[in-house]
Amino acid sequence: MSAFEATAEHERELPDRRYTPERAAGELASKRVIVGYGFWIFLLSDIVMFSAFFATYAVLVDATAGGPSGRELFNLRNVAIETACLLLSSFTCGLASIGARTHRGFWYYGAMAATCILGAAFLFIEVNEFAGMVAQGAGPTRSAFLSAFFTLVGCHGLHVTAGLLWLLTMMAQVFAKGYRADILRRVLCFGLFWHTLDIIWVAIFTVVYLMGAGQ
Amino acid sequence: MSDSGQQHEPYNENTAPGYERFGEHEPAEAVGSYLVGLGLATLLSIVSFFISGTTLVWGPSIPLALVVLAIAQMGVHLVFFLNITTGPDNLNNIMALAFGVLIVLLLLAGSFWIMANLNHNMMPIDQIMRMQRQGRYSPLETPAFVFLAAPTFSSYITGEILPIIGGYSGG
Repeated sequence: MSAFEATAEHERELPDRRYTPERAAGELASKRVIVGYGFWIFLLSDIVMFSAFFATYAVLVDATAGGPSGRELFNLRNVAIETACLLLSSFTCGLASIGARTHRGFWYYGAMAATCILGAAFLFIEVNEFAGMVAQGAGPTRSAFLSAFFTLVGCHGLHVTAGLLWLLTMMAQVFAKGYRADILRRVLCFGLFWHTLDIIWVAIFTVVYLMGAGQ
Repeated sequence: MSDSGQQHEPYNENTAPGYERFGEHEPAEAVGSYLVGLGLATLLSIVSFFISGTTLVWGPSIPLALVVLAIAQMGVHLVFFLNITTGPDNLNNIMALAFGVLIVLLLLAGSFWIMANLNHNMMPIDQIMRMQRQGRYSPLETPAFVFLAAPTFSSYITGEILPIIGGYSGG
């Protein structure tokens, strides 16, 4: 009896501390933060996967089995254009996320279209490079070095392809459903994905192309 | 509940990665941050490409310089494009990133260490051949891994059960 009274008095003294459903809901992180954090964890696991491919490449880079080495195969002018494409597309992707959040259709669709064109240009150059290498007998079966090269760079290319499909999906979803909260969360995740691909490309052009061509 | 755009988030102290806070009517600030990132990243990329082909600096130092430039550029991307900051609202994102970097470093360093040791401990095949020709190695007394690695020893094996009693010191 007295203990019950003490509790009741305590609660009356500190009404703000009472655990109401409204307060509990307010203390939860917003859905955007939870979704963004979860996708960030996924991206970090993707980076761990890429680091395994990088380790494989670095171990096998000298195992050319008498075939061509990176010095003979890589064309740094193309790599510079690819780098410029991805970097600019990262910038336009950032503009698109601002456009989506401020509900400005011209910004959003324009920046997303620019991102799409730059990403497609990157893929076009990369596919041409791969096709040229296979045509001159330097395909992935030629040596352990080339197997590791096609695995690493090709995996990044596949990510860019998936990113382009996602990009078009996001343009269509905003067009069809408007700037709804759940659609904006997807736009946020797409932006994270695209920026992360550019970070991985920085590692690729440094480790694979610049170090390979400069040896 | 507080999920539509820039509405109030009274108790929320976290920020989603890639989500820059800016006033609803001043998106120009956010564009400025992306512009700074674009400028810095472009500068670092140009220096990387320039330095990889230069003869102005001592050759063996170039790979190290490239690695440093690449890490700097990744930092620029993280701060200006992914909006990962050191603020308290980014603690969760930073902790996840730190754990990811730890795993990446373990994976890279472990791979290089193990493979370097393996190459060090593996006797080159041509050296084994030479010793065999000199009569210093017979198939019966070779360690199992040398036996399996050298075609002259193991290529004729068909479906036999090979007792692994050798190893690095067991031969």
